[in-house]
Amino acid sequence: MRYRLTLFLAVILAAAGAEDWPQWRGPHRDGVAAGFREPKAWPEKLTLKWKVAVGEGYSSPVVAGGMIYIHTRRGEQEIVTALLPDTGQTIWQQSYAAPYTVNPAAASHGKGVKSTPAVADGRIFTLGISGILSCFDAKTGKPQWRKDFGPFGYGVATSPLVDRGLLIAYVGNDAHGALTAFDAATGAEKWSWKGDGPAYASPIVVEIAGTRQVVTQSRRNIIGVSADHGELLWQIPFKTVYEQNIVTPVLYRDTLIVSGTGDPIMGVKVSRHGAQWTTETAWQNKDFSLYMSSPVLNGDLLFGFSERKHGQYFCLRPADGTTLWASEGRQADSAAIVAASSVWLMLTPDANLTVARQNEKAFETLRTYSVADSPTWAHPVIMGHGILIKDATNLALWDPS
Amino acid sequence: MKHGMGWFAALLACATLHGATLEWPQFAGPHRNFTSDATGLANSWPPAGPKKLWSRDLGEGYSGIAVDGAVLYTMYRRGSDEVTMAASTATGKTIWEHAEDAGFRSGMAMENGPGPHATPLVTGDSVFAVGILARLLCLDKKTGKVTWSHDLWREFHGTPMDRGYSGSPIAWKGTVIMKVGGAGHALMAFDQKDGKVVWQKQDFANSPSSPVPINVDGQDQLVAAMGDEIAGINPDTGDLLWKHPHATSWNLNIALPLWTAGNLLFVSSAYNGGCVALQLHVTNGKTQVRELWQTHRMRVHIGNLLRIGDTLYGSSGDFGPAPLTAIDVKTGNVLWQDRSFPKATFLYADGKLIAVDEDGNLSLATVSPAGLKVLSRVALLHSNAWTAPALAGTALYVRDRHSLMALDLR
Repeated sequence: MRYRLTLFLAVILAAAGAEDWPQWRGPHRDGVAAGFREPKAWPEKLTLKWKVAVGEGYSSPVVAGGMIYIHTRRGEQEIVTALLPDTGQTIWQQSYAAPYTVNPAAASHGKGVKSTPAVADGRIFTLGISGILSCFDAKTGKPQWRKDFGPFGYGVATSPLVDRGLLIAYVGNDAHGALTAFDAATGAEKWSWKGDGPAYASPIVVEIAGTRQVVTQSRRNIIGVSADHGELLWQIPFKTVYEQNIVTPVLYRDTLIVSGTGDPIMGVKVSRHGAQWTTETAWQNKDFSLYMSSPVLNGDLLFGFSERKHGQYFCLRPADGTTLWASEGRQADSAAIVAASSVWLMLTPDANLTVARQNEKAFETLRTYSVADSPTWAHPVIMGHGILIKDATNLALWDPS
Repeated sequence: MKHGMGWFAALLACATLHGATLEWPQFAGPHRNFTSDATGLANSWPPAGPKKLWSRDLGEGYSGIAVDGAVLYTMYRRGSDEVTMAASTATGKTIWEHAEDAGFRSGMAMENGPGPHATPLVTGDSVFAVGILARLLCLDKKTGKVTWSHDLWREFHGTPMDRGYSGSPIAWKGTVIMKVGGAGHALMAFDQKDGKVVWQKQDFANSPSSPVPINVDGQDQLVAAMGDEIAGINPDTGDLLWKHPHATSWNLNIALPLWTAGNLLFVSSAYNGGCVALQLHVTNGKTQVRELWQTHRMRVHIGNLLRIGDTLYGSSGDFGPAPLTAIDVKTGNVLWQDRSFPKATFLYADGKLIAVDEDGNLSLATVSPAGLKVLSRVALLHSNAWTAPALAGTALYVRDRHSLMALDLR
């Protein structure tokens, strides 16, 4: 009986999207793909199931309710495409004009979308490179609402999230920027915090000391803002060289793990005494510093890619920052990391996908696959037993089984 | 007898030197393509490395070594001064020095090294040197006395470079041509004798790379990788012959454009620039530019491209692994990548690659479309060793940010 009930629950969960990857860094916004059906042995080559020219950009695909979504650019249009997981065939496509003049310094990034969409409650939310925030019906693609907040820096890169009916996005620029919550259904503004401009980093929603809060790197700070009302709970001044705050924070118990280029990775303990919030540096590990790569947490292991030593993988204890191991240097320019079942998947910008065993003793690589002919800055996305790879212009599904 | 032998040796040395192309008078060598006609280089080195002829302290800088007979020229930083220096190739001892104030201007970001970056040019009786503040000096090569100078930024409003000016001068007939950047004077030619402006043309923004003279189907051209494009100009007049887009983030085309057999021009850059292969032809005085391929998998940062046979080599990558990468010149396809040494600058002589990687290793290797074979390797220098090696005859000159040394590669 009990077995049956479990099975029943499992089926329900599957139907409800246990395999979904509905937002930046997956179901829990932490780069962990618990539902990955890992192959028994990693083959010499991956099988390419399909590859579709979808348009320009480094926005990662998302998967929800049996559809894949990708947000891209073609010419002066930004495009949202829903595709069939089995074949990559287009189910629906929507586009809108998004004229954009790229900052000359970022010209070579192209004008493609950088922010990753979020799907929740039958809606998909996208944030384009020029600051256009849109909502579409996830099934049909019918546009629901749209707002234009204008461009930022080298292109809007922060990814929106959905929390209990609110769409939360860091919009605007340094002079007129705000972490803002919108009614997901209507786009009506519910709250906003204007204390700092946006960064390239994406927010998370976490519960600390019983308070649900949006935590993110803003342009010059790390902030915790009440998810209900948008008031600032705490902030830590955090300024990286050329104001490039990029990394998505990770929460381990009550310790936030943060880093930025040039700065050591650190654990910040956040606590509340009555109405008073305090933050305190619990640990710093000067051996590692994160630039564009966000770390992943597996239980008591934090795995990441540091910019030191010309690019180095590392594993540390999130409780106290103790180094467990560090790989040789010169591994890659950057790495987009996903923890999938018992392995870590690392996609580097030169289109190498490396599979490493989750191991607290050593960096144990199993395989490296070449998965594209153009730069791969988007994150790899787990879908069942497959891996979605977005390169500069194509979306492909690779099968390791 | 002893005297006689010495005389004979000197004669031999002269004969070798007047084999003409064994000098290294400028950045990237006599052919401005990182190749040398030297022969007789050893196929392997002892574990401690090739025989050290001498070694001396030298200040900060990535400026390369120009060799002219018995004298070498380079630049280094001393406090807030930049020093242009002549030294004996036989002993390394200083012959003369000339110092110029080079205090950083506000907005300059020199955390990757304070410079100087450019390599002096020796031609005729003069040495042309340019420091991080874009002050171009013409010095008497015997005495180091300044014949004339120009401030390319203050006099001509050249493109400000927040990491310092770095384009190495090039001689053209009686002129020296400089990349300056900015409306109406992106490229400028100065009379070598008196520094008078011979021409100033074009509107491009400047970039750190150095210009290179080429000959396309009998027509002389000067190629310069500018801020966002590659330009071909008439080196006598500065008139534009052609241009082709090649953008990077932050206008950072740094590596030297490489002109090779079959009228193929390669330009590669980091900062998302990638590599482009152009085939140039001149018909009825007009240059046809055909883009053969582009690849993002060859992104040369501060190093160089080298073509051997039908393979293009370069350390590809920005600040990460930067593996040595081999590319088929016909297709642009990657043949192999090898991590035996990290980001390197190299030259090619006597069938061998001589590489200085940024960690300070000096390597001797052979390369082919099939792969890299490291013959010898020795840790000689300190990080960041970003200066390209220079080879005059069989003497190799290498430096880092602390020292300069000469090695006998026989």
